[in-house]
Amino acid sequence: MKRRNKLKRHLLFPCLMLVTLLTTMPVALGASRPRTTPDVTVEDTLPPETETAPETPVLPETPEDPSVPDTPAAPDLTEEPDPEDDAAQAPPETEPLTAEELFSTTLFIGDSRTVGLQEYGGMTGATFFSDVGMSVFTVQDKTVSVPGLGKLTLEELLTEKSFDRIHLMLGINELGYDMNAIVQQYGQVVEYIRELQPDATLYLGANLHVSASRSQSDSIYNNPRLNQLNQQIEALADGQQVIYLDVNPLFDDASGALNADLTGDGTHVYASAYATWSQWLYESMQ
Amino acid sequence: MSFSSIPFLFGFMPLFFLLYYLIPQRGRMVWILLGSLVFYGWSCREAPWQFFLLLFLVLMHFGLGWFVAGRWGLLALGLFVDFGLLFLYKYFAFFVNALLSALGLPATLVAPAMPLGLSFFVFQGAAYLIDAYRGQLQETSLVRCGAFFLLFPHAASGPILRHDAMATQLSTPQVSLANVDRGLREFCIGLGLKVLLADRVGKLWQDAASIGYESLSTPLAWMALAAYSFQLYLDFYGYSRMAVGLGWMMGLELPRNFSYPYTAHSMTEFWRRWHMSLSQWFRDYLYIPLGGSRCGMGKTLRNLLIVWLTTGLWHGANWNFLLWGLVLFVLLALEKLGLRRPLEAVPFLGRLYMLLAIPLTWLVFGLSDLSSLHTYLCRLFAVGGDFWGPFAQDTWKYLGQYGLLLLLAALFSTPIPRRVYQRYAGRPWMALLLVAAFLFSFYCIYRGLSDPFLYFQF
Repeated sequence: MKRRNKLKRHLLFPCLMLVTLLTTMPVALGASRPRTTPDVTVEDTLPPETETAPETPVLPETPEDPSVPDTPAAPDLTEEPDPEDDAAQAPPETEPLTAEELFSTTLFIGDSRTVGLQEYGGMTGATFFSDVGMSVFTVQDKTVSVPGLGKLTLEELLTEKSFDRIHLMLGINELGYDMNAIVQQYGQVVEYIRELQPDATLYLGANLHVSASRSQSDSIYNNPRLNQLNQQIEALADGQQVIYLDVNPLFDDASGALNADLTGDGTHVYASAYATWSQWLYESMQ
Repeated sequence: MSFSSIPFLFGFMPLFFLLYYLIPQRGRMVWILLGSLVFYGWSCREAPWQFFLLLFLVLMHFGLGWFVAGRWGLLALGLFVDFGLLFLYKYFAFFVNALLSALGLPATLVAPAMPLGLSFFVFQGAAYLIDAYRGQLQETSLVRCGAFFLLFPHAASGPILRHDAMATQLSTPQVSLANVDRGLREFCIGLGLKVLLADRVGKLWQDAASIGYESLSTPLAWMALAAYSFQLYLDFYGYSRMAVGLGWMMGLELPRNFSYPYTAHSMTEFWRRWHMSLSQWFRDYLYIPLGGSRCGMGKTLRNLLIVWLTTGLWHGANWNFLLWGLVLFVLLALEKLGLRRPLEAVPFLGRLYMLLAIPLTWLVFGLSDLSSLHTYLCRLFAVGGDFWGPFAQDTWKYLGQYGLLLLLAALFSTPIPRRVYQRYAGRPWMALLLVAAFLFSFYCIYRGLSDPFLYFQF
């Protein structure tokens, strides 16, 4: 009797674990199936919503947001230059703005690099709508804590406050998905921002390169793909209302990859480099 | 194959143990060997010759073990092969590069990929040969010898096994439901410690490296260093508990490697609680043969210096590891010369001393170039007066992200959770808690796989 009790006592946990193992095995073995390259996986399907991986935490369905135009093909940015706006965007003949003045009417939208700019760039007065992991697929839905304004969505922020300059830098978090889908969504986001803030100059920031060692060893986060995306982003700019800014020459090494001396993880520049970056932004956004 | 990976948890482990329990007792040792060979084979699948090298080493030790008793020539041969191989893989490139640098030539030699756990294997092999030389070892079974060396629970990172402790067990493992139960529990505990605590708290140290050490505020520098210290311990401790757990599941009693080192009052005590199988190896096969502490203070200090420089070098082939060994020697020597008495007598003093000594020595261990070390030390002690750094709120930001993890890591560095566990081990809810730990660990491992694009959050 005593022995049976002892046996029963020691049976509980192994049995629980066996059951757990059996129930989680299909999930585990499904996940470890070798995945095809991103372009092949997503090419035949619609963007994000039919992703086959069981866990697609942040991928929204095709947006039904009414503020996004229904024809998301190449956004028609060239159709609208307002003469008044043109005059406002003409290079100022008066003395250049100080950094303080410029940044106090600037909004930065982006991912962790923009967070880095926020924390280490020293751009006091600027508004930041940025978060680690931000992508063109999440930027319209995410709520971000904006210092001084509280937790807002992008729409709330853009309707509440108006900006002279908006800097948008997104692309790397979604780099694994189909390039066309990314560009299409990016275009939608640009349209979205232009609709809410038609008077602001929109700066599209090129995605930062990764280091050579990362680029060579990563099938997704590498410089050829980043350059491909950046080229498509550049095509969205018109040079007047929508301007393309490429900071990469500032940080690149001779081979066109992020200088290994400027990064610890191959993807982000050191905090000390953000000051240089913000100075460059100040000069570029005059 | 890492223990905290899907192939191991859902492939190797269930298959191995399913058959292990079905096989009759006399076949189990063979199955242990076969399973371990598969484990090694899988781990070496990118470089199959490593597998054959390990097989050769097992055969060599077995063969030499037969004849080496009293014959120092054979012992020297065996040790030469063991340490020669270790030197070739681990240290050759480092020394050659150092030489080239000294001569002003480009130092670009790259160390070859090392077979799994070679550092541990070589030490275990050396102990085997030395024991055999001393006539303390009689190994007549090649299968048992193979199982002793290749035992998969200890393949990756030890503990370094002693033949006298393992021989009888390997022949007749004590397989019982009670052992399976406690082994499985211990495995889950180790897995949780590694995946849920160590891996996660360690990210703070990675974040600090991404930011760049010169831009950390002083509180953040200390937080990140604490995170690194906890990661080192909990990762290794978690792994060691998984190894012990697997051993119990097989009916084997593997030695414990840790005894709450972060509760020590002196460095001397610390090294009797940290990576015990290694420090015992150094004590039994280097320190004591050199004379230990029996030949006066001068010789004792010399012996200590040799042991600690070698310990440092064993951990890695770089200058900072030598420096680390040297720093440890200085502390241990001071303690031997009298510092230890007040530290042991006044616990508060001992704790305060270790609160500084542990992270600062790990700093030397963790940073491979001296200029980074200098930068980090400047940040730790706010040299130049800049306490808050360029981003004054970084302390609060990272405290918000990692504060709870740091507290939990500190808690699990004490014996308190273990005591609680032992008190309530039999309760059904404890079993459920362990299952939850397993599931949560699985979830964390799985998330690393499910969406590779998402795993990297930039």
